Amino acid sequence: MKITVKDAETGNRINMEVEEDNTVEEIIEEAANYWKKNPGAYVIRLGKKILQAELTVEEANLQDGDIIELIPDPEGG
Amino acid sequence: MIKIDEEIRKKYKIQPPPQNIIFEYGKEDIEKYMQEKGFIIESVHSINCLEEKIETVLQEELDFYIKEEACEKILEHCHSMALKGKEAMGFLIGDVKYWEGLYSIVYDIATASLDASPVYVRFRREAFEEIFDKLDEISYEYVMVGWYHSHLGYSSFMSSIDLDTQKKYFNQPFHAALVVDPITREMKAFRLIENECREIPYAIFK
Ligand SMILES: [Zn+2]
Repeated sequence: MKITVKDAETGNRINMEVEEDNTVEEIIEEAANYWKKNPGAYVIRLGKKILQAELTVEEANLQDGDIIELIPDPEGG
Repeated sequence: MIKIDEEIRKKYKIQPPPQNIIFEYGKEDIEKYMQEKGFIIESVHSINCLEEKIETVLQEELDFYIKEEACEKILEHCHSMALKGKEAMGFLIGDVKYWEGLYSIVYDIATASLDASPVYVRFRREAFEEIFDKLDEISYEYVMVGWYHSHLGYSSFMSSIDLDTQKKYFNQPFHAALVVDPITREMKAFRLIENECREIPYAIFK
């Protein structure tokens, strides 16, 4: 199925083809590598929920056309 | 197997920057602006902050604009958290446009419950869903053009932890960091220019 990963920091998107047994982590890794980001540094958003990285596409109930968004997790001091 | 089909890059609208400027940093006094809005704190115990201060030089070129309502939300948030003795933080939500060069505009903010102390701030993990609700309300193709946070009486500057955040997430030429100190009555903006942290001017518009 086709899904989209959006980078909240730039508004850029990647359209990708994924399979039921791919994990969210693998998807994020692929997009993060493309954008040269650290995949572990982000909170993953699907609609109103945080998506757990260890879930597969099937377990996370990802649907064709879904948009996953990478949200920064800043720290200030 | 995962296969990347294509990257769709955000298209920057060609449009002149906001015209209805009500405050321009560098030309006007931010302390006066904050005071008029009532977002300063008269007296509190000063806090010793051991954070390393990153030295910055003020750039001349204006390419960062903040909508008045967004600015008031930022100042209000920093003020109310400071009254509790805590730092505030949130995302700057807006857009990037082009006119003789890239510039960024803050139209709104997104924030949520914080793990905050007088010298540290971070979103609570479970609070991110509050931010997602806010993002869902936005009708345009938003960009997180940066972040804001406050300091409690140890002045407005980028600390080493702030700079780490900037480098990790907000490292594009249009990204900014706003640092508000309601006690020393400062609001400064910073960005990375060629990987160096610089202070930048900003304008508030109606
Ligand atoms: Zn700071």
